[in-house]
Amino acid sequence: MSKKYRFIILFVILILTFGFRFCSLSFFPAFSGTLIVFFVYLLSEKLFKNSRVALIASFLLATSPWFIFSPEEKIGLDSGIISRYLAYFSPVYFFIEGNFNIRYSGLFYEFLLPFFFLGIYMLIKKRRLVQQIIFFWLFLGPIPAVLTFNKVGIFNMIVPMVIIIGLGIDKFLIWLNSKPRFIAAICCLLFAICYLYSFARCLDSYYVHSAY
Amino acid sequence: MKKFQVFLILLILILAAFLRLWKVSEYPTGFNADEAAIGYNAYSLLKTGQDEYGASWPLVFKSFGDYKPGLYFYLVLPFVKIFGLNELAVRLPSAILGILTVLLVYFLVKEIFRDLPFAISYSLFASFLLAISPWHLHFSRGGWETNTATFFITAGTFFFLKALKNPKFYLLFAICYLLSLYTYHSARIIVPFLLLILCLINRRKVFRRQFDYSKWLLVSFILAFILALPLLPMMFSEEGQARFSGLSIFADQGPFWATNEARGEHQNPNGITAVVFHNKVISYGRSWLKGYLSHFDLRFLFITGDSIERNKVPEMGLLYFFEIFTVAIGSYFLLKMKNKNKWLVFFWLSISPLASSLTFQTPHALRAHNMVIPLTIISAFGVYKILQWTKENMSSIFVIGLLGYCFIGLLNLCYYLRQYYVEYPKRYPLAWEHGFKELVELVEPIQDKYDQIIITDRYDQPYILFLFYLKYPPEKYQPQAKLTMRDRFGFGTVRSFDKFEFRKIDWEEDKKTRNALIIGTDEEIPDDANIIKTIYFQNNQPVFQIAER
Repeated sequence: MSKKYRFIILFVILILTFGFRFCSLSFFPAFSGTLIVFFVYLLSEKLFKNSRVALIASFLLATSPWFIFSPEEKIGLDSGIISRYLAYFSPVYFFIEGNFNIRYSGLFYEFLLPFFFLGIYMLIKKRRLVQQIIFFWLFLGPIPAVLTFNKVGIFNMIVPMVIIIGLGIDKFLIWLNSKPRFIAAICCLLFAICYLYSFARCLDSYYVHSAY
Repeated sequence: MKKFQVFLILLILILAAFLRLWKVSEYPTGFNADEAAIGYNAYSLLKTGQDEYGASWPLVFKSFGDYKPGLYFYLVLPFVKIFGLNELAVRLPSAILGILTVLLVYFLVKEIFRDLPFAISYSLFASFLLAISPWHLHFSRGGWETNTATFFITAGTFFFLKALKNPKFYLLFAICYLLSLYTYHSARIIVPFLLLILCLINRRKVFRRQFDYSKWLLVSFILAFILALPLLPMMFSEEGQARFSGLSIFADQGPFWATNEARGEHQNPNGITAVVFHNKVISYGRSWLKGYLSHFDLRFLFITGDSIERNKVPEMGLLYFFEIFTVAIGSYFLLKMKNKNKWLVFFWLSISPLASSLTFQTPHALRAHNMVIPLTIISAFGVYKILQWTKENMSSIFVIGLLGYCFIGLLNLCYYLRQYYVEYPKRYPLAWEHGFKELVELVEPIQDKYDQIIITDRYDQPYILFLFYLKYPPEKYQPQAKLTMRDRFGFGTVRSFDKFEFRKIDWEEDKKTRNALIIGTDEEIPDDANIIKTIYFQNNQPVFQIAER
């Protein structure tokens, strides 16, 4: 991918981020959120020497239900510290329930689940130790939230998560490249439909149902 | 070296046998209705060649209207013949197959990772971890069909891998997988997927064009196909589906109402957006996915375990807490390793909750029981890795760390045993229907004095426990057997036989009866009644009060 296209895409993502966050929040969170998306791009570019992963990760972050609306988290306050920590690693929490004030949606879209598992595998397969730092980030992620009884969000977990899912989608695209044109086209179309549908459903959850 | 391995595996087997057999008829304390049904039907078959309803040598047992797959009944049969109709006879087959599974896992891991230099020590760790696994122990103790199904699935998988080198093993493989289908419902969903995975991973070896090889594959396939035919009417008949329809995710109305509620929040509830975003496909799809994923919740696996009292030990997960690290390290390094057989372990893990996820009671330790095998294999690899690091860096920090870790593991084991043998009977006395044995022993000698004996139906299926402990002659019972209509979960019950009647006690009415024995719970029988005896749980809470009229 040429540098020019890369920056155009990144620019569009950043504008989108700012736009969406500005709709639901105010200027400062919208601005800082946009910066985070930019840094996720820079970080994953540096870490994996792969601008496609970086673009996918920042796009995922910009369009994830969790990020658009920055909701509060509320995970079982009554249980012990270890139980509360482990609760953050439940796939149900990430992909189905999310436990926040947007009903009918998890922190990430359900159909990204296979890409998440693929991404974990790709990350494990990476040779350089520094790349595995993503795992440590993920494991340390919920600690502030656990220690403060969920007064702090779990943004710490969202960043490694989007990078992992990004790696999965990247591998999927590489795999598609080796397939005949029309199969690749159908797969891409399906992916796009799933993404658009999930995204629209997430907006519906927020704008129609959060009022109730 | 070879001798030493045999010695070690024997040691592990002795440990496994001790943990599974020691006082197996007393712990879990009590005897549940399903176990009694298995025992009494086997007894009935022995005496009359017919089950409790008079069906001769059935493959599926009607029991409480839940149509239990029959293989375990037939495994229990010889034990009832030898030991008589008692708890031991029903529980022993499961315990023995549990011990054999421990041995099988040793051979299975050795076969899966045979190309690796450390295969033997790795397989020893795997069988050791399975020998002490709380999940596997729990379902080895007690008359559980699921443990038997797990045994056959593990055996079948092992024989399949063997058959890649020696095709004669395909016969054994086919028989094992078939038997699992006749043992437990879950296996019918898991086994086809497992077979698909085995074939895909080894596709070059499976589909070879050599006559000497293919003929065995073909013979086994035809044999399996013919022997599986009786399953079809069982699975697709109304009776066969009765149990599932009461349990499936579609029996749960929750997602349906959630859909309606969500549509109602739209300005136009029948508009295109409301219908596209909120419909049955999406809501039941999400409900299924949630059920499936909930089996991978770390709290379910390591902290709380199942929510059903019969399937759990208080304050214990399904795996030991210390295994959370070995499972994490094990999966990381197993995935990093270059070996395509590792996929068998991970795919097995991913399909094992499939049967359970189709029901609405999730996560479920019983229906997803075969998860324990891949999880133990992964955990054992973690143990192996930790030991390897220590061996490579013989520094004092590593050794102390390892000793500390072993100590924590030992504490976990002691804690589990304490919870199982001391806490469990006190905490969940209802789970295993404790008290019936004592009750029947008390009622049996005095039953002739009364015209009528009324027993509360507060505890699950009291009739079968009475039949079991009375050793009531099956030829006398069969003509009296009459099952009530099935409830929405698919269960019926028997309301009476001989002079015994099983129903809710209504004291105001029942006190008018004369020359009767009325057996009810503490709440059902008032204190001023003529109570001749009270039976207690281990925690001193009364189970039954026996009143004379």
